[in-house]
Amino acid sequence: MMKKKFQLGSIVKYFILSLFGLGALYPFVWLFLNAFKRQYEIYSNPFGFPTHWMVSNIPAAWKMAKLSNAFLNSILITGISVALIVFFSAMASYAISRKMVKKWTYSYFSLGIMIAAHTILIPIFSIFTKMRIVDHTIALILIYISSNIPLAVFILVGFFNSLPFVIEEAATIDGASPFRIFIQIIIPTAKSGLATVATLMFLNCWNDYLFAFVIIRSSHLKTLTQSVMGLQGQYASNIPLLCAGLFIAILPVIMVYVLFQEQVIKGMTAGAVKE
Amino acid sequence: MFSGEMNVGGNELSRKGIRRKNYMGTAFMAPAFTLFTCFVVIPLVLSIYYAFTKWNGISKPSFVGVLNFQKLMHTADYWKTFSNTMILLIVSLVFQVLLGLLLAWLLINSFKLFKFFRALLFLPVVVAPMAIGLLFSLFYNPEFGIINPLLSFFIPNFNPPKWLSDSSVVLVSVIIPQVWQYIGMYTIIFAAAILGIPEDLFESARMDGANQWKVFTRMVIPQVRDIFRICIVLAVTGSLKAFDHAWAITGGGPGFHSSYLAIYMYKSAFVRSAYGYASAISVTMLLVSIILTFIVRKLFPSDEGVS
Repeated sequence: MMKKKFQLGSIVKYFILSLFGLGALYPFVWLFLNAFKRQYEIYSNPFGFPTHWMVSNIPAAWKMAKLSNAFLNSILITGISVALIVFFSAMASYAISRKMVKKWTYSYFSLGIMIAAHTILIPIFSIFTKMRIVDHTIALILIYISSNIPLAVFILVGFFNSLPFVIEEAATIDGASPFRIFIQIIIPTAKSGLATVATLMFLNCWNDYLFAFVIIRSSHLKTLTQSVMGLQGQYASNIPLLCAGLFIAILPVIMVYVLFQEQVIKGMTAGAVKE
Repeated sequence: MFSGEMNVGGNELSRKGIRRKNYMGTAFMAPAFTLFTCFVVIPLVLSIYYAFTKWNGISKPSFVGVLNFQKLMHTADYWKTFSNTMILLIVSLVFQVLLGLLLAWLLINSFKLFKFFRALLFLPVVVAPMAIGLLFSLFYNPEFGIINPLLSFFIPNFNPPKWLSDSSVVLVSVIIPQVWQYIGMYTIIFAAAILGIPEDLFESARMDGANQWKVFTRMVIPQVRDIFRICIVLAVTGSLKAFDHAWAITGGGPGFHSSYLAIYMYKSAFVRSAYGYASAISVTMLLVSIILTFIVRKLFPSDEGVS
């Protein structure tokens, strides 16, 4: 990975990098420290360690902000959406890559990459109203799948193009059906590409706010980002509890990042950087 | 839909096999194609149609021609949110794309600490923009926030403004977290591109005795041209999509002083029930993104024609 390029030969380089590194990290450190303070300590001591670690802030915020509900909703919605985006996009990309369909289909999907999802917010809302699925989880899943398919197809076609034909040719001669070849041979071979796309799609769905905000109204159906927004009104007077709630809400995604760093970076930059 | 002629490219199949393969192609394509068509393409067409109607979201839309667009052109709030969006784009281009490229060059040259700095810089990218917005809304607090002490440290006699209510600074307040959050993404994209430059190019530059700056400007920048174009397009779409940070911090206010086009569109539709007018805003957003993408492609032509 590392290539020996030119020596900048100065401390300035490390100073600048450290400055930006610290700048990226410190807000989260501040959040962590203040999540464990007493209500009034945040005013007297906003930057230091808590004099007394209020561990009880965590369960209190969890309960009051109904985060267990929000977590379950987000896990369910994101899980189903990501699984189906990856599966449907893999099938379509495979068909495009193996020229089982006409070429224009690829350009057709590519159109979707340029469109900011916000431009279809109003018609999506009116279509879902007609379908009577506003304020239903299924609506959110439908729009997450549909709006993310173009990017997933774009990345996966590139990936399938790099897989040699040979593997499925042997199976074709053996008389296996294309669907069986796809499930039993292509999917296992394409695991790394699928994982990259799944990571990107996970973050896209998990972090979305606007679609959830417009589609979901009932408090028991709200997603995690909606609950995060809700914290603001709930805890305007108790900042440490707000910090605790926010801390719990972002912890899982940070843990995922820490554990699967290479995978996450690869996923997030997959649309821009080709392997 | 997908049947007909096709190019099997070296795959020798019997006539029957070809027919079966075409049929399978359609079947493989069907779910993604149907969903994308129903919930992205048709809505897009509907959006354009609604833009030419007066519609309150409940009754039938009535056709009014270009009236909505005429109204937009004469509405100060539209131009305010339009210029806010353009300011965000320009700030993104300078502080995300250009700074990202510079940081990438430093990152590449940080040798053993490459992975460490990369991990730190990318951290904010994975967190929900909504959560980052909420976090920064705390940072602007005059009693316990970090922004005022930080600036007082660098600027003597710093007189802190009312970050979230003073209409002359509030746009800056909502731009900062968004730019801060994504610097790392551009840095990592550029770093990957620089790592892809063939090593012998660096070798020959070294032989010619080129210094750091020359290598960076004369060699690295031309070599990452394609990525540069992609990053500019990312900044354009990112600015036109901008919603979450500002919504979490100020709700777009006071007035529309910290609103982008997406917030103006949202409020016009879902608060004021002017769905036709709001659709016209979406259509202008779409046009702006198409025009800017076109300009970027003209300025940075690519050999490959992707993205």
